[in-house]
Amino acid sequence: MPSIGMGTYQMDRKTLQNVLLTGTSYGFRCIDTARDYWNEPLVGEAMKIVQRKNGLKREDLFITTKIGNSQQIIGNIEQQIDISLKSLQTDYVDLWLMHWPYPGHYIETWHKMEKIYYSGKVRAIGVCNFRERHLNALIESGISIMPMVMQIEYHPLGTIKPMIALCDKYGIQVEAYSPLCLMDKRLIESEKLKSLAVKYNKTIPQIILRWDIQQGIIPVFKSATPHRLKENINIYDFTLTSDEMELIFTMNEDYKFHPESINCPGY
Amino acid sequence: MIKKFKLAVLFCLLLLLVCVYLWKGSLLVCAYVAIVTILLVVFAKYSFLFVNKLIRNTNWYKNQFIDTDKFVTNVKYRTNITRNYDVVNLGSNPGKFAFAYENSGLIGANWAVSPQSLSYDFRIIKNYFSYIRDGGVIILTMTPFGFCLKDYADDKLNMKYYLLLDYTLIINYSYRKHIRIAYPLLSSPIEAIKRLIKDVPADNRLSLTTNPMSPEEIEEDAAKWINGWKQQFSISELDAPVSEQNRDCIAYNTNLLAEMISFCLERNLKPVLVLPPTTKALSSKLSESFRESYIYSIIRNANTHQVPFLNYLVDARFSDNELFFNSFFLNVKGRKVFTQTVLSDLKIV
Repeated sequence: MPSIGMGTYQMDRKTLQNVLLTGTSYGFRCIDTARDYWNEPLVGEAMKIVQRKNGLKREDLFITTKIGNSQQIIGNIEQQIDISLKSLQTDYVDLWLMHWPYPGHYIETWHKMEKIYYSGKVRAIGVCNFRERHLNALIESGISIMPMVMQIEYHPLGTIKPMIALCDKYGIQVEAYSPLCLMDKRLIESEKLKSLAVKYNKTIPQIILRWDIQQGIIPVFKSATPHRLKENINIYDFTLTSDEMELIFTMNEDYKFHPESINCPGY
Repeated sequence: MIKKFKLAVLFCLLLLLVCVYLWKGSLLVCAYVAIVTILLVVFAKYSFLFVNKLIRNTNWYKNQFIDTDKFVTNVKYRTNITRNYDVVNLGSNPGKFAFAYENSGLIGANWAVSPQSLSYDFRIIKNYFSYIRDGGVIILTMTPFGFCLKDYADDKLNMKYYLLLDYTLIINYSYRKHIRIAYPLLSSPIEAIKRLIKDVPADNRLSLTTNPMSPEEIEEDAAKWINGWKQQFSISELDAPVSEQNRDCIAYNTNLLAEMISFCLERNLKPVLVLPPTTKALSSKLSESFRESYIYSIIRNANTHQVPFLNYLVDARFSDNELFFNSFFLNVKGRKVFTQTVLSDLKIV
């Protein structure tokens, strides 16, 4: 699985194609979408263009998509993956995630996702936005496959240590969405991050993304700006010390940009 | 729906042009008619939106949705960063007028909406709880007759939730109603235009700092409340055993309250049950046997987790009528004193 990914939320056709073409030319391989982004067909179209223009094969790309709340409520999970595959113009996705632990449905959804995993239509399955109680309830329900990936909001302002520890315990790979917390001013104006940026001659986003990578966490960020894509992948030529890693951890405010219960009532 | 409307407008325009062509037989005339029609449609659209905006700014409209703009939203998210509330409260009017967290030193929010059933308290918690910090306090405001109310029969009272809750949580939700709320000019055109010309006074009860009622008026007001409740809940005698009709509702709300408490505890939030004070004129009309039947026994049955229950219904610290603006609700001064008292009793300030 690639160590860094590109998000595609709320991008129009032209922007999306530009981002994927530019991003893959810089070395990005992981593309993140979701049914609820309403752009799977556009991502599918853009992937074809990327393969054609950048000389990549399908297997060179790592495609993640997610099953949304409304599909969980409908319950026809088997058909939903087929819809995603058709939209994405592919016969498999590399990672299929449950977007939210929708109350009353998420355990059943997971069991259906397990069956689909065995069908080969998805190479890996995982979950997003779970809290400890969701993961524990899921495990207690008797699962045959442990979620392989947990995608969750994670940045220096919200370090959710207990959840990360639980993922470590079960060997679940953590993916960080909103890793830069939309460049909240508490990050941009942070003296701690500024000093590290100066020391390593990097930008603050590069410092944060490096902080993710060194924890073994995969950041999935969104940017429609080519120079930022280039900047954000240029993070493999320096290493933060353990003290510097801890320094960033001290910025934690238990802040969440995405209030979960708004997106998933009863969450 | 909007797409269908646009298609219908386009279809009408084409039909008009075909008719004009058949009548006049000239493409030039058709083009002229098309341009004029498009300009008229655009003018009509923006006029409609402009008038609709004016209507949404009337007190008549704002009073209907008075409690909906105090909730945190994802709109303007870059500046709207309030998270991790230390304390919030739910409730109907008694909760709305009982709590104010300004100057408490805590991050607090009053999520009471007037009027509101216990079931909508729960829906609001489900929609907004993740704004509360880990270990934060949720005050569930208890009221003398709140357990007799399942939900309001009048669907209009569900409307305000369209502006603050996820659609899955709204009773009798429909997209058509949602549109009508956003466009009052569509839903109640005559009333809306009337209020644009002659508006109603703004609901300023939250800003009342004194009690405008004399002791006699407070007595009358208290009697009015009691008679209203007796009528609303078909109670002929307050001290009589709970009627069959109310027993069903009470059983429903007992389970609901128990579920709400469990929901909060499961999410590491601290639920607290609070019964706010009323004036002596009102509380003295609620006998000990009434309180036991309609409030205390229900709370005991629901509160199997033994969360704190703070009872201020008859509390000497709030016996001064000057803390209220009628016989029932606290005014600005009362709200400040009461909130501070509750937070001190909870040992969180």
